[in-house]
Amino acid sequence: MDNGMDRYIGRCLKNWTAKYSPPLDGRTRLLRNVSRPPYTRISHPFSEKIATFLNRYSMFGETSFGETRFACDQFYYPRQRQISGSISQSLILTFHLAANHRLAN
Amino acid sequence: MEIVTDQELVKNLQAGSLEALGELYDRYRQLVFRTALAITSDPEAASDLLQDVFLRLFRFADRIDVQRPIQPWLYRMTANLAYTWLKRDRRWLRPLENLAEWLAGSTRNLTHEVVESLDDWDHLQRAVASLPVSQRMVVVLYYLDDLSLQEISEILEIPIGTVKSRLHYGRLSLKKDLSLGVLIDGDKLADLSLETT
Repeated sequence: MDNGMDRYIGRCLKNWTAKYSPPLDGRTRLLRNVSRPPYTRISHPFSEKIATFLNRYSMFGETSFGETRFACDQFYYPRQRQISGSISQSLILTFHLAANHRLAN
Repeated sequence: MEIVTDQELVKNLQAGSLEALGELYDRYRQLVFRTALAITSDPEAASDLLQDVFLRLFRFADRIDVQRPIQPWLYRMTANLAYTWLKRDRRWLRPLENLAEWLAGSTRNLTHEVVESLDDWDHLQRAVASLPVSQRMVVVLYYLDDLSLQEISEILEIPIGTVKSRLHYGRLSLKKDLSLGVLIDGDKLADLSLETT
């Protein structure tokens, strides 16, 4: 090994990293993060309300949109989960259409 | 004031002590931060990795062997997380960086005067950052953290021959990038010309 070059590389690397310091609030941030639960449930209250509304008038084994599917309790789970995932313009439009459809019938 | 050993702190940590975590953080934050910084070349990423390493230390404290020193565990976790960060978060940036470097003119094409005007530290950091990740980690652990080949082998969980090989090729690349020539007194570079490239 070339000792001169080794010393040069080591010195430059140490000097360069010494120009930076870890954040001053690092310890506080760490302890705050550690105190939090590892997983936080993300809730969408508004979308959950819409999902509840859409499913309110559904018959057992029927979706909010009038299609008949297998009559089992599990059926509603994926639909509800999908709806509560996000709210988009198309979903709001669907909501209106479904509401109108129910009122008309 | 009584000095608490690392072993005692890790034991307290395994019992869920946040004080012990804070104390270990204060002791080893520089070690973790500088290693992460040298590997990623990004101070913000190094700050995030510093948090990640100590969060994992807390979460996986029960898996740590109290009888062994804590530093190798911290080095291993830092290297692994930095590696993941580089592979995941920087992958899409690489072509852009290459393009920017090409547009700005590669450092390999710098003239003698330009090379001499650059700050040696920054120049070396850029050269280290241009190394492949596997070589960079070995170079950083060897030159920055002053670890032995055996220690690096254990931390990265690779054979010692691989460590030697990566270090060898890393040094060659650095020498080429830095255009290193003859050294005077082993301290100051005498020749930064491009004759050796």
